[in-house]
Amino acid sequence: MNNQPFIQVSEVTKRYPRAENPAVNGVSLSLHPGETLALLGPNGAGKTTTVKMVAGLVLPTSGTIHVMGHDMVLARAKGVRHIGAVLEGARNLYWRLSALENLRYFGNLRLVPRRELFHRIEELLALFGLEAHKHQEVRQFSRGMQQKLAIAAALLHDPKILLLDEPTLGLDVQAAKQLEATIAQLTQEQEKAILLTSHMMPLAEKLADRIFVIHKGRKVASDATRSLLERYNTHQDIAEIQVAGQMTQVLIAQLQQAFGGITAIPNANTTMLRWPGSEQTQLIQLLQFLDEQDQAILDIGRRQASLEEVFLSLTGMEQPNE
Amino acid sequence: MSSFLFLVLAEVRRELQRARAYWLEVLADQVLFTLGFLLLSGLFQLVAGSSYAKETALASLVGFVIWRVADGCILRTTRSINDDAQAGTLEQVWLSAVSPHLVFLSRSAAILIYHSVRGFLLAVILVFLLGLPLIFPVGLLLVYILTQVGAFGVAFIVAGLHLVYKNVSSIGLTLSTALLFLTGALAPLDNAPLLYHLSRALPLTIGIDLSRQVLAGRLTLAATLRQPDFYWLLLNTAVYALLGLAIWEWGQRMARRDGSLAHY
Repeated sequence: MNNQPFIQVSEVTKRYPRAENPAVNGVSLSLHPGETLALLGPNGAGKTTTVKMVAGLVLPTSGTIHVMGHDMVLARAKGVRHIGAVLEGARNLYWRLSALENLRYFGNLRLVPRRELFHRIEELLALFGLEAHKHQEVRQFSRGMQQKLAIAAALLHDPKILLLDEPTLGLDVQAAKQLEATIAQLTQEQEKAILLTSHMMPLAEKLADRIFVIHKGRKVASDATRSLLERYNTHQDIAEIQVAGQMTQVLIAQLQQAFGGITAIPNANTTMLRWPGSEQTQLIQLLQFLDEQDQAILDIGRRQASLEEVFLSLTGMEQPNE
Repeated sequence: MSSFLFLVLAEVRRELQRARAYWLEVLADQVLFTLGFLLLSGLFQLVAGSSYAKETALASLVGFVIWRVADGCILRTTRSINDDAQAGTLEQVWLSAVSPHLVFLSRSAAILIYHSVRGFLLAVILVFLLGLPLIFPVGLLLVYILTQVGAFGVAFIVAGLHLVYKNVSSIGLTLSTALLFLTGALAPLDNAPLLYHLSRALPLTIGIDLSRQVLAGRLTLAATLRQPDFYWLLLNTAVYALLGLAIWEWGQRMARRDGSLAHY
């Protein structure tokens, strides 16, 4: 990997007028060619402000941001040429124009020469599987298609850097998966450097080389994805099993004795068993136990804790009462 | 310059695509202003009787069309900022390969071209319906463009305010409506000397006056350039255009400081 970062953020602070606390507080990060960095944090953590400062859309209060070596306050116009960005979900397109008209317009805004633009549009429509819909108005698109088209529009001038702010927000599972695959393709085949924000850990896990966790404007953690998730998965992976009917207290006590750390949450006609940190073999033993006790299993799931829980784990803070 | 023309073409295309999408609104708007002028013209004729000559009707028509184009440009410019903020496309403009100022100047040029075509159609229809003489001295085009550039100064003032304070379209609407009555667009303000002198500080007044002089005297381009009002028009336009650009620049800087570029 090249040593010269595409993006270099140094000690950046953003304090909005009349705001009590800074939105971003002394953040430093870098993004190298071909790398995907996930900026993770809960709502209001400072992710979007950081991305917008990188794009030159928000002025930092202090610190410096360089994109391809250009200062984004003093020479924004030079830096912004290397950036493609999709900000805040699908709101990046003209809904009453067709996909083709949108791409042509945004290509013109980025001064892509006419002939090159024609080929580029065809190429991107094919990449995102939108050729059949190119004459359709964007308002008729599904959310997933809109998001794909927004990314296609951001790629028209073949930028070296792609900024994606919550790219899977509001998408259904299938559309999110398709988009994940497309983003992965962009990093692998086209070697784009991608800075994405999300509060979805699985998305970051699949796409990012590095994760930067931000909370209340400050860096909480920054590490290679694998090492960060290993830490997190060990402690925070949660198995959830829904059993028909209300379990007896005796059975719950037996369960807790046999499988340490399990909790049973009774609902109207079901019982939810929640087991953090359980491993696959332990889970199989639990299922066998439930089967022996004639408990009808309605649903089995395994989820990772929310990012809030990751923060708590990383920072050692206590979980607030729900 | 080539970037500018490239962008103007893109903006004209987008403006036409938008007009196609909202064709009923465009049509209704055109009919409304045609009927509106016919109604006003009828009223004037009723009040003035036989003294309401074709020359007077032509003078009213010139003022009305210049105002109508300026009105369309002011409202469309401010509305486009609001629409873009709502659609999330405003920030994309700031991510374009050229400065956002150039994008908005090219957008203004496109809006002017689009509304001028609509204004021209309106004028032709009204000339035909009222049986007025169809004349177009070359000097009129220059005066027309300068007048509209001044009107864009007002549009940029409102747009700059919109970037900071949001939802100020009503200011644009109030200003453009006020311009109809305060600039003597419908009828010259010769009978109200104080108002006439005050109104010359407004953006459209001098341009409308000069256009009427050019039409009435069938002035050539050279003769138009020799008119004292031409220099007042230049000054007036320069003041409004510079004021508009200054407020726009201030607005976009404040919006980037406040992180409110995409807010609406």
